[in-house]
Amino acid sequence: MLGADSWSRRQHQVRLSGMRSAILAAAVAAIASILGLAGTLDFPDAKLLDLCFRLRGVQRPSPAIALVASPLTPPAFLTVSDGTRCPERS
Amino acid sequence: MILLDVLLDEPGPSPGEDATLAQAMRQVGNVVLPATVVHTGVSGQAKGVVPLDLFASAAWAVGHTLLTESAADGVLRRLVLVPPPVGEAGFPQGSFAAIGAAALDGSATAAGGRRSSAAPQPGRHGRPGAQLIDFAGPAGTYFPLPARLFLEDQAAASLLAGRIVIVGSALPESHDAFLSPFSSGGAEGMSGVEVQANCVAALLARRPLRTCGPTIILAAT
Repeated sequence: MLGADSWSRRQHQVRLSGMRSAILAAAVAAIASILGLAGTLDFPDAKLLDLCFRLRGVQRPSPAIALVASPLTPPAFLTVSDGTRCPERS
Repeated sequence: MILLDVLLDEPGPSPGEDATLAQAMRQVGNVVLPATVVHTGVSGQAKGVVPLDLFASAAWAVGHTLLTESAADGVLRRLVLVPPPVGEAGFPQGSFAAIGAAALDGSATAAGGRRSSAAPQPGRHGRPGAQLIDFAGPAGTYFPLPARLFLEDQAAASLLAGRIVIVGSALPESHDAFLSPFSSGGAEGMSGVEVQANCVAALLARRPLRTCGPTIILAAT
């Protein structure tokens, strides 16, 4: 668990890093646009969304949610999407 | 509320253990199980995969875990709220994450309520059909607690009090990983269980993420 100060510092660093990524992404998008490549992306809203995520940076996870991951792999984890089963790990 | 992100569609090696799990689920009375869709055959026909009756009858509800990955870049950006028809009787119409979110904010019946028959409702959870996932950050932002912790130390259960607990596998062997908007070249995929955490958080948000208008998109691109 991060303390409030260290969380703020980390968030600030992440935000700066996000800004750099965003500027770089915008520059790449501009060059792509000039070169006529932007049309091939065909999903500007998705790219814009990704850019917004990077600009915003990492948010504090919701305190209402807890994740528990099991290292005790039950058989269900070994069932792949087509219904076949992977070999069990030794 | 416990979202057990494990597809219990086949019996385990020991019927006794399956019965014990079902009994435990019935005893706690707040477990939500997932269902999904697989595409089979050359035609890619959709087929619903639901939990065994033994487990479905013991669960508080069953919800689907359908997500929408972009056909263009394979990145996951939306969760499906209303599933497409899969021709499977009893396939849940409510989303796994929406059932969990509704239970936490006290509107459980709005997301499907008990069992899987009720359809999701539009409203604060965004437009029906699909919802943008408001990712908190890259993979690892929601750090999973190891299940072993709770087996070894009963007091650790206090960490989970009053929260939605999502249980699943973060192991690479489970092949349950997705590209998120934070993924970049060669980046580690986000585990399905962490994706579900982001989905629940997105549905709990007072201001759900929405796409902006075409004018803003045009101006930005």
